[in-house]
Amino acid sequence: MSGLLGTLDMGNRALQTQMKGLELTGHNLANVNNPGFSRQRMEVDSTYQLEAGHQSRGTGVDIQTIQQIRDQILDAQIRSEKSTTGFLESKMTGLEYMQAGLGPVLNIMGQDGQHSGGATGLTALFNDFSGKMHEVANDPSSRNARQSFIDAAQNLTDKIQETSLQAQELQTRLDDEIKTVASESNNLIERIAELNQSIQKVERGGLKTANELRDQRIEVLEQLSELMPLDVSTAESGKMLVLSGATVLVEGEDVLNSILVEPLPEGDLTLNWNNDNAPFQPQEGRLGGLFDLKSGALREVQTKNETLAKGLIDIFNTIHGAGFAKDGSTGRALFVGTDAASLKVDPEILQNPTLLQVASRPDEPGNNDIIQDMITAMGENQAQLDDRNFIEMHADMVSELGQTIRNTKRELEDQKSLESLMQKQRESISGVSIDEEMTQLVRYQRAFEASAKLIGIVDEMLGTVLSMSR
Amino acid sequence: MYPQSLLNQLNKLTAQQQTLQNQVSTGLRVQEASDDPAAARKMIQWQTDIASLNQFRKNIAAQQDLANMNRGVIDSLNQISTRVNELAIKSDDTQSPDTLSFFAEEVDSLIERASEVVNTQFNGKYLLSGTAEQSPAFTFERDEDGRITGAIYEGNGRIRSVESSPGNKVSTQWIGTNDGTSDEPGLIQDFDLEIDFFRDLIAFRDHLISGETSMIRDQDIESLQQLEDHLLHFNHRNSIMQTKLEASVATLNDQELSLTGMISREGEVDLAETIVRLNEVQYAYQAALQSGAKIMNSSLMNYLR
Repeated sequence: MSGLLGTLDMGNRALQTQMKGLELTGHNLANVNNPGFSRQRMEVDSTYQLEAGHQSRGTGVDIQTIQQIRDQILDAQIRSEKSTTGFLESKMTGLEYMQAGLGPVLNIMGQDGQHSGGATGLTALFNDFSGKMHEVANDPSSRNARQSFIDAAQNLTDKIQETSLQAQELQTRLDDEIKTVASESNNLIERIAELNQSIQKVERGGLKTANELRDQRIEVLEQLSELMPLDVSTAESGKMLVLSGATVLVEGEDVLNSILVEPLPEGDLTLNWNNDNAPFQPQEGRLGGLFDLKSGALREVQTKNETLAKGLIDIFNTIHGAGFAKDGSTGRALFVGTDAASLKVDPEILQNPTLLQVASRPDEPGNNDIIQDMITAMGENQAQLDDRNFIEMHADMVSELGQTIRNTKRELEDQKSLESLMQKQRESISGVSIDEEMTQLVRYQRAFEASAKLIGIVDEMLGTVLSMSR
Repeated sequence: MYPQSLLNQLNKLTAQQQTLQNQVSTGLRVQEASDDPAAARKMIQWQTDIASLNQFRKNIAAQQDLANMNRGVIDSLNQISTRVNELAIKSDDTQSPDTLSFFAEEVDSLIERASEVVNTQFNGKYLLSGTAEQSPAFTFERDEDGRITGAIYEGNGRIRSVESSPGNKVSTQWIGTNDGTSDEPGLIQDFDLEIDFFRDLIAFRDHLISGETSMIRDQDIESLQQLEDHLLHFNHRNSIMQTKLEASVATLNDQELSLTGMISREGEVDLAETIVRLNEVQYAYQAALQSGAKIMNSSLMNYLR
């Protein structure tokens, strides 16, 4: 079919196409601030040709498809970077909490806010403890000197106990967060399966592409990869596979595995896959970061604190036990308890400072041999503290945690710039550029006007033809 | 795309400004261990070193107090000894029995004074009792006239020492009697040196009472002179010890000065440098804001009707 009516028809199709183009540009512009959106392009093609003798004539334009501009490799890369960022971010948050919570232990500042060794940190308490031992050595029979030494010892044990409690609290907090993140992950896994189902419904005929749903799915996948390590591939059946390691989480519209939080004795917990019951040990994502913190920096602080507590108990009790109190009694331990959480100064000594055993012989109130041995033990490297002295052990604890925080901070900064670089790259491919869309707008508008002009002219021509028959 | 990267840059610059501003306002470069873990480790060690230095200074001060008390004791004993020696030299055949008995009375009162001096207390503890400081150093036997006839040491032969620097112990404590088992010399009695303050004074007094001037000449003058030398020796020891302690304090002060300097170098900021860096970052921040606003303000929209 051709002729004037055919041309009119062609004009109509062109108008429709340009309208669609305008509509699409509007849609793109509307989503300019939607980070999960990938811009869409209309692919058009000329319609069939009419063959008439030696001539062939075109019949206009038609929409072929509306395409999403996406780079799937980049999408996968961004997912993997998001896992790493999630890992570092959750670790950093935990570490910052730890630095705040253990602040008094980590404090390297004095009371005056300067580095003059005041009385707030564990450093100061250790120094006070050994200082007060010297006071007793100077005047072993003085009740005041004994009392202030016992007070210093109590402050020290209180702080070590507090550290132990705070570390325990931190672990509970991390466990709570692991539970929350696990349930959030499970929701997202289900959401992916649901989206797969919706996409499948829309695309069943093979004619339409569920662009918006696909965008949503990419966003959900990225959210999930922030929480745990994730891979996406295609099954033999052509269905989408979402995996974590070797475990299939989603196949098409079916959820095959979700995360199960299993409590362990002593308040600890572990993760399993609900279906194949295999253990899930995340190395990436926020879950990975939380587990890394628990078994890394936090465990390290707990272990060092325990070592300090046991060192105090074993070393000082041995020395003190061999000494004699003012009343001649001997064999009493200075510290009671077995670990950091139960460490305390012997309650009877606390009540009665004369029970402090500082002399190496009975009936010698001026003898300071035992307290001198304790002073020496305080400064000496101890096998039990890995050949360090108490202060070095504490300094190591502080500087190692500081180092971990510093390193994680740096890694996180690097990781964030890497991720934003990739996001930029993706934006440059999939993102909406206002300038570009405005150009498209002008182009479609002009094409629309031209097509309308064509219809107008054909109309005039038809008028001319009709007026011929008058 | 552009707004996001502008925002990232601005955030980075703001964080830098905050850090630098914080450093300028506190004057501290290291506030938390994570600011510089290596420096934090060193600072903990140095803070501990300073705390020990202060403690050593306190230990030394306590020893200096003790040495001053000892000086008081030895000064009193020296006075007694000097007077007794004078009397011993005077007590020859030319003196009448009355004079000798006057002398005897004076010596007896000197012995009484000495019996008080040797039981001097310091902070409620007996100075010359060794580590058995709760009991008086000497108890005394008296005859029916109330005269002192013998001194019995109640203390022990051990002294208490304290650290004046890492691993170095000092003591200015003296014991009253060395019965031959102690390494410390006895001030009043020393079996090794054959010194016995009260024995010699009592003997002299008794010779004065009985008028045995020959015994005084042949025996007492020499033994009392020996006693004087012994006390001089202790006096000398005390002076040396005080000088040593003062030197130790001076060393500790020097050490503290250099440690404080080290902490300051490691943990405090160079203000000039930090302020220059803060200015740089501020300029960069302003430039980013200005250029960003300009770029974001213009688009194709401005030119379409």
